[in-house]
Amino acid sequence: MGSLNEIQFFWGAFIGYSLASLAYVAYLASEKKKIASFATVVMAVAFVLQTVAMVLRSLHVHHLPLTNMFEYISLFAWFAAVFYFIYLRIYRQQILGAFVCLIIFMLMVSASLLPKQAEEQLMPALQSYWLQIHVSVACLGEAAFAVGFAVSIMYMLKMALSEKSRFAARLPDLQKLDRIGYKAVTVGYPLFTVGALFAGAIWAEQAWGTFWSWDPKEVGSLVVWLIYSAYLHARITKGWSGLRAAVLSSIGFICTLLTFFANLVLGGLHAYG
Amino acid sequence: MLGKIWSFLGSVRFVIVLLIILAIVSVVGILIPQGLPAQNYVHKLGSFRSSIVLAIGLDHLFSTLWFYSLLGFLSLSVVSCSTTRLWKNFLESGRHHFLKSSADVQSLKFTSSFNARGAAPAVRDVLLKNLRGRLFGCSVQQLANGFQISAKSGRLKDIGSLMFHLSLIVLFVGGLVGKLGGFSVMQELGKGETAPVPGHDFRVRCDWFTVEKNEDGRVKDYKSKLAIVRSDGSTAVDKVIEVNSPLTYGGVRFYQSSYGEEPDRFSQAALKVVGPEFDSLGYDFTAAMDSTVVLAGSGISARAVRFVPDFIIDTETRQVQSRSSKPNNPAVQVLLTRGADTLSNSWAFVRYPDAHMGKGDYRIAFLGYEPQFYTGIQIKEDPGLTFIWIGLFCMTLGIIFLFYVPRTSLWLFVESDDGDSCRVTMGGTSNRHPSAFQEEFDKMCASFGSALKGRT
Repeated sequence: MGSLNEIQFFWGAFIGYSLASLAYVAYLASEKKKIASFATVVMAVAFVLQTVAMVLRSLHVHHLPLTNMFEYISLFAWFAAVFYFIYLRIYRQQILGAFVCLIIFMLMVSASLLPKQAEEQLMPALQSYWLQIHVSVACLGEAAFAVGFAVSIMYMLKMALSEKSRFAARLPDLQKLDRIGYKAVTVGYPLFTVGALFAGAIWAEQAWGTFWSWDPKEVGSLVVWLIYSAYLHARITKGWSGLRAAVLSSIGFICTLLTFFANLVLGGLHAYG
Repeated sequence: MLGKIWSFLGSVRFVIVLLIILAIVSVVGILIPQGLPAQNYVHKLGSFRSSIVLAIGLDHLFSTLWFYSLLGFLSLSVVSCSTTRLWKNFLESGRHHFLKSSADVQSLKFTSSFNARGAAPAVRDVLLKNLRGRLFGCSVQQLANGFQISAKSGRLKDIGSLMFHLSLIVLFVGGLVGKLGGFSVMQELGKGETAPVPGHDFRVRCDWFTVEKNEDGRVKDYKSKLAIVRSDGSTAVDKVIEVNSPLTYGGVRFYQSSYGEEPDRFSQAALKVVGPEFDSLGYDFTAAMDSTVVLAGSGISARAVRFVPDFIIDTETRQVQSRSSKPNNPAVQVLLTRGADTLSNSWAFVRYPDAHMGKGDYRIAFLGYEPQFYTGIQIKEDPGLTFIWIGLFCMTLGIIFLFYVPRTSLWLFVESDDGDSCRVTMGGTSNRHPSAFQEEFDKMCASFGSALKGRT
């Protein structure tokens, strides 16, 4: 099982997600249910291929693939797909897939541009079981935010389009969008709080001798947390629920992405490949 | 007036604005690199903009008084909100409200009814036992022809909310206590060296330090064996520490932080002597610093007396110095003696094998060396640690309760038809997903129904 196979599976998943995105866009344009079902099936195939890629990589490097930016984004996309499939089961809104799948597609594009070298030897600071806990739980939380982001985009689109718009009519009503967007954040927020901030702080204390050191990535995660905290409060407040909450949710996710990609620019303690 | 300010601080609107302000301020703290020397800002931003940055402390934003004030306001807001709204919610979730009649049950989202055998009090008791077994808090109202039971679950949600919010204060207190009452110092220790621990009468000693490398030369691990030495010289405890595995003693934590190469010695050097006693290839040997090696068959002793990592010689004074602590031009001075005679005392260079400064028949070659590492230890005492651990634990528990405990209310009417059977009408609401709750509701009804029909 060389690393070559694993990268081939990654590209297979990449092509799958691209096809699924195209199909979902076609579904947005055409309203044909069959296209949406086709897109979902293609996405499921891509998901399986990606799963195989990640398992092969784990076997190859003898630890979970969580240690560089390529592996993280790939996992991010994978978790987002997991959440989408769960959502699809609960809410049966295939139109959500069009938005989530586009996000996954963009994540896969950015992953594909990053160095994909598998690294067996971890640097001393990463040799801890907190690596698995901190990174995977934080990633899971962020993936839930991605779904929340997709829903809040739908919310803002629905508000922006006129009521006569046929496209707007196909989107779920505002109340429902607000509720399922909120559900995504209520799943993501505890995971992010505990995984990114708390587990990160505990690990930092062990490895770096301090719970919190105002490292750019730490502050970035704090910003994400503050914005989603504001969102959760906004949703229960008159004048702040609805549109403003949707805007906060989208800003929260954009900050999540910025915090992640800022690794490439800002350096700091969290700069890993 | 004071009451108004207090309730304003606790209002959700205020906290939303405060959270957004904190987020924006934090973004500024990311965009402006923190903690650089003042001239860096002048150089980067120009004198005008840098003067603004420095005046309001944007160069050390997260430790400015105004940033602490923002956190202070957040704390006030949390306390105000917790003592008013969240506390009220908690009390309210323990209060039971009864419906006017069993007809009201029909207006609830989830309803069901079934017949039960037995007298109303007996049926009531079975229902109460079942509900409490499912962690419902129950209250009973006596009706003319039976009973009404109000059952609520999800009080943990309100406890979780209180825990989550108040733990934030505990974390702040922990951070503050650590900042005011703790210390953190970096200590470099060579093999066998000891260092004092500030504020304590014990010392820390490094017994050894090692760097493990891969085949390709990359660092795999670095470890130090540390020992705590009491004032009477006895060893209290020792441990091999590495990154992610510190040593704790007497409330002080010792972390493996870094390492470096000693600038004035090596661990082992590979050397060669060429001279009349040896064949044309010379005599290869390894030597530790300052230890004498007898070169077999020649009666010559060799001794590495001095090492510099970055050799430079002052042309006037002929003094050898090191330009830096980086291994740019490692050089060793080797003394060759036979009995009382000095044969040679000259420098040799790893990078320049052909350069030699000695006179006479002997030449030394410096083939390479193993650096002598020192270990970089962070010594830290943080009296806020307990607060932080309690805060993190309670906040985690709180957030789990707050987000994952569902809130459910049930109302059950037990109305007797005649002496020996009852009609149970049951209805409920929940914040769970409707289809998921429907499933649970149906299961509950089925279970209650079967528990009651079995009675005679």
